[in-house]
Amino acid sequence: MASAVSSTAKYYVRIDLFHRLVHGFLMASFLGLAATGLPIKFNQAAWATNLAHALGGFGTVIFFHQTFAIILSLCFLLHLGRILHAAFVKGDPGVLWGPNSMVPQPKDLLDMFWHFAWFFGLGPKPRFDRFTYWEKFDYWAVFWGMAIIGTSGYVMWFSGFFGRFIPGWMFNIALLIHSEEALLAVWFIFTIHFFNSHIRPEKFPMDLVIFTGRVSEAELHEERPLEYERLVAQDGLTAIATEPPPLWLRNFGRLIGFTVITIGFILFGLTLWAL
Amino acid sequence: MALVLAITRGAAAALAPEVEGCLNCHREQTLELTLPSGESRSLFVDSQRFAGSIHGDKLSCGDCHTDIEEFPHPERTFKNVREFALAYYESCKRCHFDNYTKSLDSVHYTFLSKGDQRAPLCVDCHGAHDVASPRLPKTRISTTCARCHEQVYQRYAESVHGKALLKGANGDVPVCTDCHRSHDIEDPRTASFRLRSPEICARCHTDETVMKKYGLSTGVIQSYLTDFHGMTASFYKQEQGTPEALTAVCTDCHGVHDILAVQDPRSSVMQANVAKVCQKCHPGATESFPAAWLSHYEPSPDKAPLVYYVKLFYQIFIPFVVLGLVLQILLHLWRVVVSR
Repeated sequence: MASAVSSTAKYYVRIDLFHRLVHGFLMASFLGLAATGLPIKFNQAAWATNLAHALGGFGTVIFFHQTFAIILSLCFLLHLGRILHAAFVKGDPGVLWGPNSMVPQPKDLLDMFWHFAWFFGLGPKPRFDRFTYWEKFDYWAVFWGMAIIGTSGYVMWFSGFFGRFIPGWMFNIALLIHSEEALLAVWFIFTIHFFNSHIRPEKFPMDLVIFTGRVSEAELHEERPLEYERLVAQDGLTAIATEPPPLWLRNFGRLIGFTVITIGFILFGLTLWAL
Repeated sequence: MALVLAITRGAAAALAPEVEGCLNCHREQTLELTLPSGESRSLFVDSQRFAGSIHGDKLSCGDCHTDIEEFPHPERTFKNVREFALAYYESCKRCHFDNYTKSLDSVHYTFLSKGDQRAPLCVDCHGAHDVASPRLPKTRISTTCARCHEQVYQRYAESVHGKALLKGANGDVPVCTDCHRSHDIEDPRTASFRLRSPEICARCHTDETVMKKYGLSTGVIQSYLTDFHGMTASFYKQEQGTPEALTAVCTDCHGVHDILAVQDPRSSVMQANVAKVCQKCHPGATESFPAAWLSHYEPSPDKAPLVYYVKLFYQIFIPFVVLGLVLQILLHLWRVVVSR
C-alpha cells in the first residue's frame, strides 16, 4: 500500500515539473487519440458509430484525432530535444547511459531475471535503481509507438505529398501498422501500464508520484534502494529534498488519475467487445 | 405512347356491361377532341387492348374515370393534352395507394410539383388502357425509361449490364429500377444516394449464386469496406445531414451507366487506366499511387504478400507481447499474495 502522507516524513523530488507537464500532455493526447482512433478502427461496431456521433461526427473525429496527434508529436519532439540538448549541448552523458538513463543497461537484464526468480521463490527480490526494467520497457514501448504510429499516421494524413516519394503499397502497410500498433498501444497502456504503475498491490489504488513528483524517504528507500544509497553516498539527498505534497495536489492527482483510468478501462473494454 | 405489348392472355376477358355502354361512342376510331392548345386528342378506346390488359377483367371505365357518372357526360375542358393526363393522376391511388405515396417522394414528383409537366405520371410508364405487368419482359423497363432518358439509356446499352440484358435477355443484370427504384426514385445526384450506392451494388455482387455464374468475386464489398474509401464511406453514411467531404464509392471508379467488365481494355479500372481515375480526386497522383488500392483482393501470399505478412506478423506479435506482459503481472501478483 502507498504509505500515508505524514508531515514529519522527509520527501524528495523524483519527477521534475517539466516531466510531469509533458506526461500530462502525453496522457491527455493519448487518451484523445485512443477515443477518436478506436471508433475509426472498429467502425463496424455499433458503439463506434455512437461514439463518433457523440463526438460530433466523422469529420470532427478525424479533426480531433489529428489535433491530438500534433500535441503528442510536440511532446515527443520536446522530449527528444531535451534529451539531445542535455547530452550534447550541456554535455551530460548521464541521460544516455548509466543509472539515471532510460537506455537499458546490462543490470536491467539481470534485474528481470532475478525478478522472475523471485516470482518463483528462487531468490530475494532484486534491488532496483532509479528505473526498473519494466518502467524502461514502458518508456520504450511508448517511444517506439509514437515514432511508428506517428510516422504512419502522417503518411496517411498527407498521402498526396508522400505519394510522390513512396510507392502506393506503402499506404496499405502504413494503415496496417498504424492500426495494429495503436491497438497494441491502447491495450498496453490501459492494462499493463495501469497495473504496473497503479494497481499492483504495492501501489494500489494509485501512485500519485506522476502528479506530485514527490516520494517519501521510506518509499524511495524501499523501492529504489540502489538509487537511495547512491544519493546518500554522493550527498545528493539534500539537493532534492522538498515539502510533503499538499492535499490539493494529491486530490488533483487522484481526480485526473481516476478519470483517465476509468476512461481507459472503458475504451479497453470496447476494443475487446469489438473484436 | 403506343407500347408494343407482348401480351398473350388467351381469350380476352368479357367486358363489363358498363364498358359496353361507353364503347357505344368510344369504339369509334375517328372520335377525337381538339384542345385550346391546338392539339388533338383521340378519344378512341381499343376494347381489345383494354380487355387484354391486366385490368381488363377487374375494372370498368368508371373505376378510373370517376368524374363521369351519367350518359351523356358533360363536356371535358382541358387546355392541352398534358392536362388531360394530369387530371387522372389521382385515379390509380384508389387501389395502388402504396405506390402512389411512394411516387410523391420521387424526384419526378418534385419536378411535377414545381410545375414541370414533362415529369412522368403513372400512365406514362404503365400505360392507361393497356396496363401490363411491369416486369414482363424485363427489357421493357429500361426502354420505358429510355423514352425520356435517351442518353443514359444509350450509355447503359453499351455497358456490361446493358449488353447482357439487351443482347442476351439476361435477367440477372440490373435494369434502371433495380438501382433507382420505380416509384420513389431519388435524385441520384445527392451525397446520400452516392454513399448508399455500395449497398445497391452489394445486392447482386454479394449474392453467391448469381456471382458464381459469371465467375465474379462476392468479396468486393467487404474488401472495399476495409479499405480507405469504404471505411470513410461507411462513416459518412451514418452522418446526420449531408457531408460535404466525399469519398470514392463503386461508381466513382467503375462508372455508373457505362460500367465495363474489368477485363475490357476500355474499362476505367483497367490497370493501365486506373491512375487517371485516382487523379480525379488525388491530383498529382503518380503512376505508383494506385498500388495503394488492392484491387478488391484480400491480402494473401499471392496478392499483396507484403500486406499479408505484416498482418500475420501482428497477429502473432500482439498476442505474444500482451500474454507475456500479463504473465509477468500475474506472477508478480502471485508472489505478493504468497509472501503475505
